[in-house]
Amino acid sequence: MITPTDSLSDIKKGLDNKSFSCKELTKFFLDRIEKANKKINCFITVCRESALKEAEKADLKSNSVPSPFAGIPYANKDIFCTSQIRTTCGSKMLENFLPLYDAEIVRRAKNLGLIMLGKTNMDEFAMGSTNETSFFGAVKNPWDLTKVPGGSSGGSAAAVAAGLVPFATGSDTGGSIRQPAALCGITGLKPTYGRISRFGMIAFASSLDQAGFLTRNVEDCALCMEFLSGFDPKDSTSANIPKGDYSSELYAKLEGKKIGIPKEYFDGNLDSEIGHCLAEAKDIFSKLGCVLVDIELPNTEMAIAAYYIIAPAECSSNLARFDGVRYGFRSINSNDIDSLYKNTRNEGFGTEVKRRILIGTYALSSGYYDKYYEQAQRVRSVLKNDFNQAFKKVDVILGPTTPSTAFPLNKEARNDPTELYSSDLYTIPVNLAGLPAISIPAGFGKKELPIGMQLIGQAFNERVLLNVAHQFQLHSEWHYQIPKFNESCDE
Amino acid sequence: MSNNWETVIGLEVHIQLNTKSKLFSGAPNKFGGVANSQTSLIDLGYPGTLPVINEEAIVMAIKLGVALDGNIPEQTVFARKNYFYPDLPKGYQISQFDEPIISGGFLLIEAGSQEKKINLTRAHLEEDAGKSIHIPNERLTGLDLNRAGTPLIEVVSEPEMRNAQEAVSFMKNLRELVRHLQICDGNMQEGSFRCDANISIKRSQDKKLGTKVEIKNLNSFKFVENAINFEIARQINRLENKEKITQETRLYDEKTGETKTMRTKEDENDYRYFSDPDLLPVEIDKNKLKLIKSIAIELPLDKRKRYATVLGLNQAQIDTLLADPALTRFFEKSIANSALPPKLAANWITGEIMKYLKDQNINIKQIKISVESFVKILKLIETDKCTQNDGKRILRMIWEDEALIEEAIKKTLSGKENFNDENLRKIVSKVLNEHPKQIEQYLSGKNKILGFLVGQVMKVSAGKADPKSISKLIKDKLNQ
Amino acid sequence: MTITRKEILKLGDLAKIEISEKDVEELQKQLNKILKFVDKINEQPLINNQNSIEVSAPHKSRLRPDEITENLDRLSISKNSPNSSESLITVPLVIE
Repeated sequence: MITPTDSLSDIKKGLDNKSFSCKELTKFFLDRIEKANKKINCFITVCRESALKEAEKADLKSNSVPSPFAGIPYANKDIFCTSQIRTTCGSKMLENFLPLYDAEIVRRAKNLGLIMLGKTNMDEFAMGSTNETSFFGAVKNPWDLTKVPGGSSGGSAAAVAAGLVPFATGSDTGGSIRQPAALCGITGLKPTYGRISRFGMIAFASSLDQAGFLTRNVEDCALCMEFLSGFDPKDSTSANIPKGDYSSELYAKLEGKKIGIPKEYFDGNLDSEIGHCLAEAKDIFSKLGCVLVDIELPNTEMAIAAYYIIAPAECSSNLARFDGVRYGFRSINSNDIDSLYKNTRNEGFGTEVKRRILIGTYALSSGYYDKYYEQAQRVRSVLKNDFNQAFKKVDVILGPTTPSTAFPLNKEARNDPTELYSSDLYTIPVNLAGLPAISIPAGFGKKELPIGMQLIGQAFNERVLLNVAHQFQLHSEWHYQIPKFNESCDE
Repeated sequence: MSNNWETVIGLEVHIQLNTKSKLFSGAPNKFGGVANSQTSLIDLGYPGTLPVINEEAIVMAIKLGVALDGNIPEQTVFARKNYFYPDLPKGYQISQFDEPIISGGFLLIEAGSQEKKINLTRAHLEEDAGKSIHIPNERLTGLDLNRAGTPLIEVVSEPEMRNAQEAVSFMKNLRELVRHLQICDGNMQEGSFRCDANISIKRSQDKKLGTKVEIKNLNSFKFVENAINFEIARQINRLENKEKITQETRLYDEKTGETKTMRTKEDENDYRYFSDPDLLPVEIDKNKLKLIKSIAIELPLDKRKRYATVLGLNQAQIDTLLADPALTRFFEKSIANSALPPKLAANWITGEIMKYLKDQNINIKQIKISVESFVKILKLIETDKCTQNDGKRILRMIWEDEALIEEAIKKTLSGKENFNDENLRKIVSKVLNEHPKQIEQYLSGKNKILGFLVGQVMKVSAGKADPKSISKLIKDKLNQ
Repeated sequence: MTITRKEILKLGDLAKIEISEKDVEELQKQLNKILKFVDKINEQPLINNQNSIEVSAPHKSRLRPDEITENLDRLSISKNSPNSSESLITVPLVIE
């Protein structure tokens, strides 16, 4: 019997024991997707035919691919290029774009025998934290269909939360994996910058973007890290630093581990429900033998401002290639090249994307470069230093992932673009410093909306981060909770 | 009216490196080919693609930097130059801004009959854009992106040139240098070596420079000369009519010989340079740098001086030998370790070999004989073991197949073995004894008699002895 | 620091995004809100005032050996391009 929210190891056991075939497994999830997508809109493209074909092939081969993933279905955020399968990045600009190549992470997944069920919905070009900016419509949070799932990996988060796939890939530039993971009550990991290849992942802010995973638990995240991360010569920012043996290290005891509690995260502004959940979490860690250490991250406030300069600046350059000339959307009836560009980009991009491109262009422009872009990079250095100082005293840093639980879907009412920016307070500094971080379920607020806890680790030390996170999950049950919505997708 | 106007010229030279693959991708780097047949996902700016730096381009840039006596830093950084143009696929060009791979340096040029040093601001690596082919009658522009991503080095000179000739000399000397360093073929028609010229005019007494005008894409020495001269005249004309010079970019029209304003206001572009986040800083390997510096490459200008003063070659020979770096290498190899006297080698290379190359319409790289064979033959001539004509004969026999050299030498010199010095001395003595009257005539000053005596010896030796040797022996004998 | 109307139109030109007359005012409002938000970085001197600007990752750029490893198929290029004629990708005539 397949349970939609089973962990990867349980599913693998089922396949190995022949409790079910790959085809049955794949069909099981595809049927759920078909029912769910109408309601929560978390998939832009579903690859029913190709997935079933692959599953059939996998059944014939069975056990010839020695990987813990062989025959297991998953989904890719629509930011990852998939050869000959539509890749839209949530935008009209790439509505019908068929890449000629696979992103590196997709290629590795294929080699491991993973079966892709579809491409998940996302904020347009990864810019947003509600998944409302997608050209293909908003995604709804399975815990409450009137609420946002978070973004930009909202589709992936919702799909995993609703038990439509065992896990999904995501991307995280300022919190786009961790925040939706928190709002959807699942586990989301952003590895150290440089751990996972960015080749084939459509670029938003190159110095901040990192691929990662949305899973049901930390154990599955560790498995994904073990097999899908690692050096890629096609990505010059990819780090050639040895990985850990993530899965086996999960079980190390936490006795004596130091957990940093930043005073800036736990000031009077913290939502009381979230504060309550984190207080309980701290207790669990204390009981496990951890030492809670007070630390300071004094430049946290400035981090968001720096991010909203650096990310738009880099995106204004990265998105210049979308000009209607070689691929993608091209505006019709443009008589000269200038109008071709301007109309294509005006019609092809959504409002938030255009806003960010313009602000980014401004921040880099002559006369403003020093004041904005360069200054923001200075803030970044200072922030890195803050973390370095903190990690001299502690092994991981604990805090909230988001300042609130999922808020209502309501794009129209949001007139002030900066309203949402502040909610990235806890996640952004991590990207600026290039550190690994994970969000795991830590409780619920009123209205049964999930609350996430964020753990931040030292650069390239996902091993310790995953160990601490996993031990928490061994002593808590939040990650087993399932939204009522899931029943509607059952047979 | 002179009005003591002074011209100030600076050049930005674009040098296409002859690497096998492009600067940031493994696509082939070759000229020509069907449009859009030599590209890659990366150079075409497909979503999600990332650049990876070509190691050889860095090495070539270091070689050039060392040859120009520039400063090579410990690390160099690539930056994005952002602007929109259809043959620029990514919407930005990956170039260098702060921390270029070469800074400072200089190039020697000819200014009239003097040598002049032109300082350089910097030189940096960047990728080339594709080609736009304008088709006005169809209201279309076609894009051939084969060239997109080709590695370029841009050399920026200080504005220290004063006239078109100096600018042309700069171009000529730099072109010769990059060809000798084997980093660029210098083929200007194909666009692998071209420049933009920045020209301004001021009164000689003014300290401040005049308004600068840029003329883009000059790809022949003639165009450089004509464009600069036209532009100087145009600017002076305007200034004398009290009209302002607009700071702008102009194109040279080869049909009319004039420079014209470019319609697209590129000069209003704000390039918004920032370090490319897809590329981390490049560390210049200290050991590699040391190695390149230690392989002291003799610069072409120094070669010229050495060929003239030390080797005693004439200007025409020097020009020929240096025109093709492969020919230079052939020559220098042939005289290495005193294998051959330089003048002899130079004479034969600029003579017989160049003649053969011309006849066959090939270049030295395609020749089938090796330096070793060439040296072997010339050594025979040098040691009087065979005549010049014999040498030519042997060469002719082995042009197509140098394996035949031993046979060719044997054939040509057969019979001559009998005419070693000893034998020849006997014949000379005999002939002299038979012609006492002619000896007297020679000793009394009739030098031309020598020819007759040589002829007599030739007759006896059935034409197989070398007239030079005979002449020498007779002279020696008679001068005793 | 506020963005002027003129600057907005210039930005539209630099970024090649058409900004219609009716959009300029709204855009100006929104962009100024964002600017006000990010101006925080200039409000106070940075604690630990470092002048060095760090790069995103600790390692240096990798260099690739000079080898031909790929060549894109011409037909794929024209298939993806919205407009092409023979082997060229076409756009409206660009006047220099």
